[in-house]
Amino acid sequence: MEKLLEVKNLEVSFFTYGGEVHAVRGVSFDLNRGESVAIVGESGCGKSVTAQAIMRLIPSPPGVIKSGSIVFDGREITALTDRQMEKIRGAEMGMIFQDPMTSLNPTMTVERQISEGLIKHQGLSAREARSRALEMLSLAGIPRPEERMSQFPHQFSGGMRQRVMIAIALACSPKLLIADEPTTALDVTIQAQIIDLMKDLQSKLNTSIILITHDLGVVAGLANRVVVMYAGQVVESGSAERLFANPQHPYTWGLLRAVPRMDRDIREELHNIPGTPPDLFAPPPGCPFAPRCGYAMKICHRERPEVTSLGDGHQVSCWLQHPLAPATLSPVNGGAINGGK
Amino acid sequence: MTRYIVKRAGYMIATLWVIITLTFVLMHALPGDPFLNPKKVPEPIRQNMLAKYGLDKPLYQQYFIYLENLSRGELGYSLRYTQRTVNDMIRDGFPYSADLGVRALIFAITTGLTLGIIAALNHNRGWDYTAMLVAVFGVSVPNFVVGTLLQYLISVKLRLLPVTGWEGFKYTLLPSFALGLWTVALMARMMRTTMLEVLNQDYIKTAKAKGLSSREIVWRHAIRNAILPVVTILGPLVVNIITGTLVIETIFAIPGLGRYYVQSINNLDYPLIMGTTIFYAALLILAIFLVDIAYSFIDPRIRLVGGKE
Amino acid sequence: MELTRELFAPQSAAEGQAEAIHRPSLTYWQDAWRRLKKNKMAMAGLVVLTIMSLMAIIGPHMTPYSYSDQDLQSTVQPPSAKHWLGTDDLGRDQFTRIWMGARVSLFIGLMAALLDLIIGATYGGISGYLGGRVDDIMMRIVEVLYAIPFMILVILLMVIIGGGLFSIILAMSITGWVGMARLVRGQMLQLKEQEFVLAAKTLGADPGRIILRHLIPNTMGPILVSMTMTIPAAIFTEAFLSFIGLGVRMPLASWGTLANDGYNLMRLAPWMLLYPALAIGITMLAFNMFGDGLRDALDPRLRK
Repeated sequence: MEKLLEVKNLEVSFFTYGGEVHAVRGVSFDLNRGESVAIVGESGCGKSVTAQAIMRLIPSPPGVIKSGSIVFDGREITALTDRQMEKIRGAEMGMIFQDPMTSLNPTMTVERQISEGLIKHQGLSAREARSRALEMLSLAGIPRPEERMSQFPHQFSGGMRQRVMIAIALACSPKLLIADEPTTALDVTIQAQIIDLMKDLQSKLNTSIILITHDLGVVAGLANRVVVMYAGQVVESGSAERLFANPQHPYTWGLLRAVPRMDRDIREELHNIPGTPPDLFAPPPGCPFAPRCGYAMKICHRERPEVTSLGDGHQVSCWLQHPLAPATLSPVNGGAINGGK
Repeated sequence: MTRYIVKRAGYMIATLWVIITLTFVLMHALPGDPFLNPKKVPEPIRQNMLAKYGLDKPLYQQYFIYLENLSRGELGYSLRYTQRTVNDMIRDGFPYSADLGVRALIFAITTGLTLGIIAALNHNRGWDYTAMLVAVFGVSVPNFVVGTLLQYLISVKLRLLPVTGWEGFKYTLLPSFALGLWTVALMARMMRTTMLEVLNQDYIKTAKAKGLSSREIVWRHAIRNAILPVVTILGPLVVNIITGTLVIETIFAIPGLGRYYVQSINNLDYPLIMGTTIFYAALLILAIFLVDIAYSFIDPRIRLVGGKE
Repeated sequence: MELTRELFAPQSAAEGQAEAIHRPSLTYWQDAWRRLKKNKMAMAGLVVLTIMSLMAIIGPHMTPYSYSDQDLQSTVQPPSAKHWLGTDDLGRDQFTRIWMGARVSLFIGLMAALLDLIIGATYGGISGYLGGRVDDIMMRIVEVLYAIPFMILVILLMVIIGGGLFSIILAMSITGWVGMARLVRGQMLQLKEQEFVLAAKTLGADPGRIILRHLIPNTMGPILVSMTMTIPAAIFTEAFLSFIGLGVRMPLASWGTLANDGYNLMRLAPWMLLYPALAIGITMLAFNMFGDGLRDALDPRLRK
């Protein structure tokens, strides 16, 4: 399959009064055409910053892409001028945000908010843009679109606004859609509808999706591949099937055990991961998860673990993979971890 | 929407009524009858006034006579300028005041908004500090000081502009500037704050993600949303401009209503003070009312609330 | 580093990591003060205000003249060693009068703000705390009063009750409290619904205790900020009234009457306007800078 996006060793920092915040520290992953990848992690792990870096939407100052490369459809994003980037945003990449209540301009009709990008990128006339906007709204599952499109955002419910956001983001049929926690602010019942809509439109428009979320339940429904991030780094990545069936990193175990499941005994306690993520002003020298990890060893606190490839695109950064590490069993599925041989 | 206007109009009338009643009560709280004190009023005028306001009748009747006169728009006679009614003086003076006020307001709004937008777009850089310096000085110096100093420096010393009067464009420059400066400062500060707030909103990020250029984002998305809250303070600002005309007209000897008003205060010309006060009060209340109504038309969110109510 | 088996021995989080350094916990006011101190503009404003207040107290005593001493032999003098800021048309020492004026102007500002606070906070507090019908009626009244053009009413009152220090303060507080009442009521309504008040109610705290311990401390921030705006507004209003001939009575001086005197002597002695104008301007500037800083410092949303 052809690669649409390739992120390599991306480092993003924010320079604040308190000093440099290392928000993203060497993130690499890639995405094929028509594929969906989910970036998963707690709030503050750098997943949103990574997404914004791809769109070059990091507020600067204080944010800076320090190093690394982002190749999108053959072009190096980090090297483009602002003018060139404007041509890509909206036309080839679309983005939807977490809170649909605040993501739409309250003083502009929905129609204008959709057609704006079309007029700019595809040079459509106002009439053509209008009919395309109408089409997008009905694709996004908004009932009575002719009537609705001359309304203002406050006349829509939260779920409907997120549909409008999707219509805006996909209006120019972009190759890539970045969805930054698109369902977090919505009711559970609406969440499923929005995910279904995204899946449906992905197959119709052949768009690749980067889904940013902290909710593994959402991931399972949509993503082909999963990237687990912690404290600005990728700790584990792989296909959704492999990652759910055979997770290797203690942090992934923690995340999986924190998801309520119908097939488990209800008396079994839902897990939480004790502690909080490290201070990104001064990231620890070793594995960032070590202070919260129940399996931590001396080495974990001192050295950053290397990336271990387990085949089939499944990669993990954990000292437990090292041959010298003691044999460990996964608490998720009871499988043995590679170490200790 | 209609309900909203009716409600606001109700408040407007109530407020006016309070002011008129207050004026009436205060006028009668003066020792003696208002036409005896403190200056000797020519006897014919005094008789005329006593008859007109029925000052020999019981107080409650006088009140209704007063309201009745008002409802016909009659505001009484001046003590100082005998033979002239307050209505005449308003008719003569107000056009000048309105001219000055509108010029000052236009100057203040355009300059204030521009300064505020420039400051916000250059947040924490040179232009921001310059604009805010202007703004802070603008609110710190009373307008009569600005007026007097400008008059002294530019007109008296440098002889660039006429010192006093109101006879052409050149005459309008200094008074409009002095009158508008405070409002410029306030507008600039408020516009900067709301603009910075708007630029941090999620929908600006959405606009950026659509691929709009910074210029398109500022013009199409940011300014309109940032101006909305600024419109709400337009009412008080208009009030400020109108009261400011009292001082500015005095300094620049502009034959407007404000100057008459200040003179009437110094002459203790009670009927003129009362009449003009009611006129000003009505004008100010109407201005605030109109601004609020205009606001509800500009902001689509309010339109809905009004419609549902 | 060479990897040895020793390094792969388990080591729990507590052993491996030094205990995180906790920020010392600060109360709301300590935290606000800490942030205010960091704000150079606000501190500059505070210093200027302190100097102004001190000079208002000692300034009039720094010269051998009293503020009302006339010396008709030396009228309208430019600044000199004898009269530091010159004399006015009656030969009164301007330096003495400026600081006497500072007393009067600052007093007017402070009193107006204080009366606003007492009347407004009581009215708004009662209205907001009781809520319901009482609140409804009280707020209808406020809405009608709020629309009355403040300056017009002050002028009217001043014309009727006559000029003078106390009429100015009276006229300003009769009209000024409405804004404060609205502010306090709004705060009350907001706070009343918040969890910590509900929690206190559930725990059986009596209303007096709730108002004293929970509501008042939490409204103090916005009230203080509003006062840093009321004081300069009152000083400004006084100057305006003095200028149109409704100021304090002779021979007492305020910055407004001094500026008015200066205006009348503008062509003869421009410095006569300059000094009171500077005094007003600097004080306004200081209040504005301090007020802005205070607002930022007290805004809980800005806590870092």
